[in-house]
Amino acid sequence: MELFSQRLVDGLSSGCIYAALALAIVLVFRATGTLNLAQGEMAMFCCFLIWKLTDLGWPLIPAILAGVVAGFVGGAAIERVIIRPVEDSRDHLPVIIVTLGLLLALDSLAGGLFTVDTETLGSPFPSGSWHIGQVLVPYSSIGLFVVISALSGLMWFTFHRTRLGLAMRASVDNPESARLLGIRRSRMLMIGWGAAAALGALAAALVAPQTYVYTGMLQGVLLYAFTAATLGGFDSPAGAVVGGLLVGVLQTMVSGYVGFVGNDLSLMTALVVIIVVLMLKPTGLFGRPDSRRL
Amino acid sequence: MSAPALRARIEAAGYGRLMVLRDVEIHVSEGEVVALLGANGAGKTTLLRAISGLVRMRGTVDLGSASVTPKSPERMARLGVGHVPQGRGTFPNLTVHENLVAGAAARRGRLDLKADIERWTTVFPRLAERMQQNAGQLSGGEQQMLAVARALMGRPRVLLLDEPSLGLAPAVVHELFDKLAELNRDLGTAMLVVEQNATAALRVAHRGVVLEAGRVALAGAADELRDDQRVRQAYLGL
Repeated sequence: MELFSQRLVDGLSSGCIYAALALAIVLVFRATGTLNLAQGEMAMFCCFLIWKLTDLGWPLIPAILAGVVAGFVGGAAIERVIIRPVEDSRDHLPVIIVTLGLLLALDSLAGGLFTVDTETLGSPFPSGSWHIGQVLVPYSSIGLFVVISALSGLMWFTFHRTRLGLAMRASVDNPESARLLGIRRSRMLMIGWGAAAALGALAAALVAPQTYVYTGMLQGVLLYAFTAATLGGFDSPAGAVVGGLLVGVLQTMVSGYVGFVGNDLSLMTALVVIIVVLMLKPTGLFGRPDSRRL
Repeated sequence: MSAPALRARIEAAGYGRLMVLRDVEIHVSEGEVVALLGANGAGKTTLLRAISGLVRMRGTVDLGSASVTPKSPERMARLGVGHVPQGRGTFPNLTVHENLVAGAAARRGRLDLKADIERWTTVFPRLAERMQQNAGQLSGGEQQMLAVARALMGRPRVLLLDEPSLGLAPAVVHELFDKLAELNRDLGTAMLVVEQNATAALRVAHRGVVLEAGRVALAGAADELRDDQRVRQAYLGL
């Protein structure tokens, strides 16, 4: 029972990490209607920037804030310079392919610009754990959970209760009509990419104490994050969090209790989840079906 | 005579090398409804899309005192062009209420949207019953009314309507055009209406303009056009 509880907590802890990146994926999807495969690498790049600043002597919190701002500016700039030329509201494939190229480019660029070594970044949360009986709940996981829950709430609020969020959703739902109403679609896309990159930067900085800082730090995480977004529903911030936690728990449990999976095949869990969700409930747990009449 | 709500002088407009319109001039006076008629491919939709900046054009569009060459629909919306596109163009995954709020996107400052929404849902009571439903779940006629109400939320100087009767049952078309006439009578909203259904359009329009192969072939008062032999044969099916 203790082992089970500890695995549950461990699962929820890794789930928080997946959820953090899944939020960024959901944000780009809601704001631009497309997927950014480079979401993890963009976050990694910002994380290296944060690490570099701390290496130069900056305190951690200001370094993280600077990284988040850099993420926003960088994300918006990437949208404007690299994504915009292939942007087509009817065909998302070119954009997705370009983000794949961006993934590879950022990977090499980070290696060249910073280092190919593995670095460490401190945690803004206190070290140590909360003891519940024999089960250890790390403070960093609690902190991460609080932050992603707050971000998820903030995202929901922005999309559903502000004019900016409404303009973003309108602009994804029917780009031409949105423009005819005076909604500046190009500005919406830039803000969406910037905000998602900023969110990714924050997420990366918060998970870095556990994953360490290296070019591949979020590659595995990105896969689970996509699984989380699929499970939760691509358009739902709450779904991203719940999906992330579920995927984390599932992964830990399957690795722990299903002998032949172990650690080696644990990515398979993600794949199986994606396939099962797409077969049984393509909109995910929290997603809303497209109510377009054809 | 006061300046027209809209005057468009289009030297050329089209898609890439394909020029659809040549030397077309059209105006809509304040408080006037103008029906834009013509066969398929005559350039009616292109004319509306050129005015609202969706199609590249050479020429000028005057809106009140402003005179511009339309470059982007965002800017034209801010200058007071309300455009209800063909096929309605509602936001299917947004609620009726959200569609209406989005209609005011071009307006600045603190807005009393509640009053505006109430006003248009009084005109279109069926929308009031469906405020929290997604627009995609509405019937064709309801979506068309939503598209008109949404455009009015932007308080346009002139309203462009592209084939509002498309895909609607005759009774619904009748109801819709009654509403448009009512809006024009009560609020004095200037309208430029593209229609295949010339009978319906000329019933509410003050004037009519007939396009043929990208040029103005005929223009005149609505009742004159209704009686014109050429129009009757070509567009009214009489």
